[in-house]
Amino acid sequence: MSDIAMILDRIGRKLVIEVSPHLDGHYAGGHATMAGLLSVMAGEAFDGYVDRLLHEIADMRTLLIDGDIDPGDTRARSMKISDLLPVHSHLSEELIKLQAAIETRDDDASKKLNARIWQFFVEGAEARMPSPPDFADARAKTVAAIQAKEE
Amino acid sequence: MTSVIHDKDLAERFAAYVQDELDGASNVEVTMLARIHGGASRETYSIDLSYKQGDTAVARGVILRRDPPDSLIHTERKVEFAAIQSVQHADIPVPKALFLEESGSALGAPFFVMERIETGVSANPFQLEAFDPHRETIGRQVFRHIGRIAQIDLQDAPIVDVVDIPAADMCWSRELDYWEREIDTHARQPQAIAKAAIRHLRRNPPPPAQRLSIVHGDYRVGNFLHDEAGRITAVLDWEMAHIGDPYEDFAWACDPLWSGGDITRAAGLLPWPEAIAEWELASGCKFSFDAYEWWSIFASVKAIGIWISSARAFADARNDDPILAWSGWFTHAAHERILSARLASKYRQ
Repeated sequence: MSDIAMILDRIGRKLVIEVSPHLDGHYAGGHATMAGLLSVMAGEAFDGYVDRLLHEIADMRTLLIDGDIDPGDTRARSMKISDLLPVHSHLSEELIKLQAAIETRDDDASKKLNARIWQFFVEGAEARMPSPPDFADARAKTVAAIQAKEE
Repeated sequence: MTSVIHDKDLAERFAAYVQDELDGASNVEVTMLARIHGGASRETYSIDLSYKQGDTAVARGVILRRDPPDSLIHTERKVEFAAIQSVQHADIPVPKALFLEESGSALGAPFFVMERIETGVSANPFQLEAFDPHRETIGRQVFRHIGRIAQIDLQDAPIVDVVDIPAADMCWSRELDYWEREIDTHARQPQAIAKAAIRHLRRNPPPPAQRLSIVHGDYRVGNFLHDEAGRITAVLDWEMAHIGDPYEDFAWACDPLWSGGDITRAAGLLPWPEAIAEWELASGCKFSFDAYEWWSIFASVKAIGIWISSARAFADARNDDPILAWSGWFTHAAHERILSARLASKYRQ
C-alpha cells in the first residue's frame, strides 16, 4: 500500500479520536492529540506539495525576469522535495532583493510589479494554509463512551 | 485532580526545596505532580503540597514553571516573576508569585513557583463560542485589564529592575529590531512575506508611545482562565513582559488568529467602540488609529517570529514537543495569510 496521504490521515484520526481520550489528564494526551493533528495535516499537504513548489518556482522566475533579474539556472536535479527546496529558497532570496529595490522607486512599472509580488504572496499563503482539522464531535463521542465504560 | 505523581524524582526535590524556602514549614510533601500540556515556553507542573505550619496542617496547590531545554520564546524567568509581582496590586487577577530560583541546583534548571488558581479554564482561541453567552462580558474585562496593565506606575514596579526601558519614540524600533533578528536567526527558509512586512513597518513608523508602560506581551484568548460564567479568574503567561508602548498589548489581543476569524469585533469578543472605550478609560491613553494600525501589523510579524523560533527548536531536535511543530507550521501559515492579505491591499494597483 503506497497511499501515503490516506495513511497519514487515518493514523492522525486514530490518535486524536481513539488514543488521546484514554490519556486525558496526562501530559502525553496533549502530545497524542498534537501528533494526530499534524499527521492529518501532513496527509493533506503531501499530495500537493511538489505541485505547489513547482508553481511557485515558475511564478518567481517570471517575476524576477519581469524585474530585469536573471534567475539563473533554476532546474532542480530531480522532482524530489529535497532538490526543489534549495531552488525555491534561492528564488525567494532573489525576490526579496528585487522587492526591496522596487519599493524605493516611484514609477508605475515598479508599483505594478510590487503589486504582482504581493499578489503572489497572497496566493502562496492561501495555498500553504492547512485546513484546520476538526474532530470535536467524534472525539467527544469516544470520551463519552470511555466514561460510560468506566462507570 | 487525581493523586498522581508523573515525576517522582522531581517531586522529592521540589518538596525538599519548599521545606528550605518556606518559613516555618515542616513535613513538606508533594501529594500530586502533573505536567500540564501546552506550556511550551516553560515546563509547567501542577503540584499539590501538604505540610505543617506550626501545628496547622496545610494543603496548597502551586504551579511550577521550569526552564525547558528549548522553548517557543527565550525569556528569563526573573522577568516573568517580576512582571507578576508588578501587577499583583493593580486589580488584575494574577496568581501570587512565590519563589524564584535562578540556579539549576535545586531542580536541574532555573524555575519559579506561583500559587495555583483553582477556579477557571483556559479557552481555545479557535473556539470563541465557548465564552457564549458571556463573550462581551469577557471582552470588557480583557480590554480593562490591558488598560490597567498600561496604567501601572512604573516607579513601584519590580519589572523595571530586570528589563531595559526604551525611549517613548524607540519602543517600536526596539521591538521590530528584536523580532527581525529572531526571524533572521531562526528561519529555515527565506521569509519573503515577513521581510516585506518589516520593511513596510520601517517605512511607516507609528507615533511615539503616549506613555511607557508594562506590556504583558502575550495577553490574548488562550492565555487567561475564565470561570465559564463570565469572569476572568487569572491572566497568565507573563514571560514576554517588558516596558514599551501600550498599543502593543491592545493590538496583540486583537490579532485575527485569536479572534476566531471575527475581525468585526475587537479580539472577536467586543464591538470595537466598546473595546476602545474600556481600554481608554482604564489606561488613560487616547486611541489613535495610526498607532493601532502599526502595532497590529507588527503583531503578526512578532507572531511569525515566535512560530519560526519554535519550528527551529523542533527541527534541531532541541525540543520535540509536537506543539512546536504545529506552531511552526499551522500558525505560521495562518499569519503569513493574514499579513499578505492585509498588506497586498495597500499595494494594489
